[in-house]
Amino acid sequence: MKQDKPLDLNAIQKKGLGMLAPTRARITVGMATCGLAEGAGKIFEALKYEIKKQKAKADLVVVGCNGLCYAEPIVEVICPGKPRITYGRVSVERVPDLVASVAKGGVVKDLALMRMDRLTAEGGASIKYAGTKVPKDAAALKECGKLDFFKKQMKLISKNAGTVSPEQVEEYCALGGYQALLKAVTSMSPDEVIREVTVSKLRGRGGAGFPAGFKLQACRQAAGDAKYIVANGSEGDPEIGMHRSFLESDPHAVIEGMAIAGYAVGASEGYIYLNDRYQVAHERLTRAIEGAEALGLIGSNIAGSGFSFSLRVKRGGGAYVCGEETALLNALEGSFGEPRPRPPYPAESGLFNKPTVVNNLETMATFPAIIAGGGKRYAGIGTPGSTGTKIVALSGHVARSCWVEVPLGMEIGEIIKTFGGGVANGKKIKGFQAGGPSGGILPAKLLKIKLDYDRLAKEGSLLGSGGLVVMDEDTDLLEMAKFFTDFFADESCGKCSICREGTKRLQQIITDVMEGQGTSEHIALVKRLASALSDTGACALGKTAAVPFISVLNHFPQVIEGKLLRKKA
Amino acid sequence: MSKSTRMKPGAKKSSQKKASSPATAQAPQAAAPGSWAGSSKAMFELMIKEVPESLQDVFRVKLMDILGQKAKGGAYQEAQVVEIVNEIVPEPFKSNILKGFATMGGVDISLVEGIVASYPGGQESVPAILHALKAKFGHVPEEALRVVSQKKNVFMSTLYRLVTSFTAFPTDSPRKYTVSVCDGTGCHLKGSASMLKKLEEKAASPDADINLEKVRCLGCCDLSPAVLVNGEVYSGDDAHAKISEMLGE
Repeated sequence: MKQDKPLDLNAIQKKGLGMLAPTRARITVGMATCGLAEGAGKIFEALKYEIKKQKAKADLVVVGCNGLCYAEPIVEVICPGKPRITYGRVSVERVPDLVASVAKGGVVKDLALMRMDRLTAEGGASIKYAGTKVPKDAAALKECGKLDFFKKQMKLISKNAGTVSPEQVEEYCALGGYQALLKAVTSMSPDEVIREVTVSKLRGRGGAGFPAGFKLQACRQAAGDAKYIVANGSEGDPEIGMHRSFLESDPHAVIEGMAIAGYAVGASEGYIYLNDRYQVAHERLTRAIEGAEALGLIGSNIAGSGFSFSLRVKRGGGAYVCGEETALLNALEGSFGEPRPRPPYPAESGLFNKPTVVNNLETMATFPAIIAGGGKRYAGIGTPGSTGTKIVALSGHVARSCWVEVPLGMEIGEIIKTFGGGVANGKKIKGFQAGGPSGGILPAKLLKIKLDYDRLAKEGSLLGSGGLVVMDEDTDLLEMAKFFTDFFADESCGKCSICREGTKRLQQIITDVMEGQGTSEHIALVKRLASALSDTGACALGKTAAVPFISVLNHFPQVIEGKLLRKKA
Repeated sequence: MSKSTRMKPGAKKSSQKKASSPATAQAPQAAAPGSWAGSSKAMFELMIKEVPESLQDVFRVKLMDILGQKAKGGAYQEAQVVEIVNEIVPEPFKSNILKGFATMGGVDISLVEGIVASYPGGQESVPAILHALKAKFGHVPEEALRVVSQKKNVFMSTLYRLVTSFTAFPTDSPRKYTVSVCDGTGCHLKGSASMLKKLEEKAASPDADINLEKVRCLGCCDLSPAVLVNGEVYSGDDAHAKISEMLGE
């Protein structure tokens, strides 16, 4: 522990800036899971070899994902005084060309996606890559800020992803990192921090959308000799490992946010519960925590304020229900992933029966942005009931899978069109899913609704963790309803009999309908089962287990009615 | 399953520990059928703890007798141990011990003890231990769970429930192919179910060389439908080709 080492953020920032815009070339490789799956590891090795071979004066750096997952593997080249060039779909064969471009100062035209002339960070220094004179071949490329993909995003919390090295705390600091934490602990009282969060009207980014300020307030007021901060990185939704890339790209944002939450409620210990498959994120988070501790940014007596905060990463075991906050706490204690009865809520009695704040990773990562820019300013983004920005991951039948950060209130159809490039192969959209299996399936005519907690809830769906899955016209929606129901049946922890047995009965009924054996009685039964589930399930898994089928029933009645047997004679 | 084929490299190292027994002093390649890779003494201690207290002393004497023979260079047979258990231990302890004993040889108990000891704390340390065991052995062996149970004072039934309720802790030892088929929403939409079905049939047979696992997201939705085979991601047509190769088609 670096207890009394004076903390010089300016010096750290300066060092970081020198790394981000170095006096020699910097070549970065996007090595989040999406990049690694497409062979970024091999590209990295090839670059290392080629830089040595060509004796190029360049630093090779591992970065995360900038959201353009469909263009992986992505390599960026930053030469001093020249625009930052982004290359996509790089193959090992083309690596020598890229390295050669450093010495020549040119652009490898056919691989280049865009250029970036300068980077302005919230509250941090701006980096000027290129002067007013942009070289001719680079000028032919589109500036990153002029591309719809980036122009229409609002990168408040994911601004560093793809730019900084996830393990270099200095680089995170150079773009304004840890300023919010130091501001909070040295110049604000815990109550002031909570007030800013309350004013921001930030709602939990995990699913239910509970006001984050209230949660902090409740935990602060709860009596307890020890309190805990827990970040929920369980991410069990199928196909929605959306915060995975974010975490792998910029782990410090979560660390800083957790420390701010700790200061606000008076907790000196935090846990990050991570999906068991997030190996890369686990390693990077662990190293990021070590890095921050080494500089005294977290640890004991941060910046001489008397506030101490330590952080540990715990790997989960791979159960969907552990995304539910009380089940997660049980899992952290080494027990079964089963929800606890509520109340008491975790804010009063959570981890080891102590007051605990449990927030999604994204909620945590939002705290620094709120403290740095002020709650009022944050509340001005989005819609009155759903403020701020949201990370959204697109998958399914979209032309381009990617993840983006958009202001809430953006039209869902626009998100799919602008960032996902619409539907693959020019097909039409039949339906889409927002917020994971509990969100059900919504019809194409609802594409015009806004990304908003309340608007989606009105349609029986939810914002959830922010996944958007697009289904094209050839999709068998009944089969998808079965798929989601199977998922719930698989993942039911078995604690409540209504969920354990109810999901199995649902599976049976849907199978009957699919096989043409269904009658109107089946449908009536599903409706009764759905209300029983939502009334008596202990957690959201059970409560929403019938939503997929009910949503198809409500929004696509013809899909089911066409399969039902006519009334028995 | 042959006990000696899953010899672990750590076995040699364990001879430095104070509870070392002649069995652990063997070099890994010297493991012949009928010999144990792990520390026999630690293993016997575990067995002794499984029987009622009144029987422990006499059981211990008999087992240590065997260790004595071994120390003198004599060969000791699994059959001898089984005989002693049959003679002394009543049911239901007998079946439990024999079942545990039958799977014990593959795992170096002192190695497991080392892992358990490096995670202080009570039950909250168990998930981390299970992850460490999986990293070491490729799966979570039942005999290792017995050690965890005793050292951490957690019921075997609790551990068994933990291990089986979480997908991260396979109890099968790794085979030639470890295959994770992504059946997340996006991959499912693009036909992962057909790949899964093909593999499921193959993996179900007892002599299959595939450990099959259905996962919910591999983190590369752009590559959907995606399959992870021994750490390498295959997508779309490549995935189908790889599956055909594994199925020997």
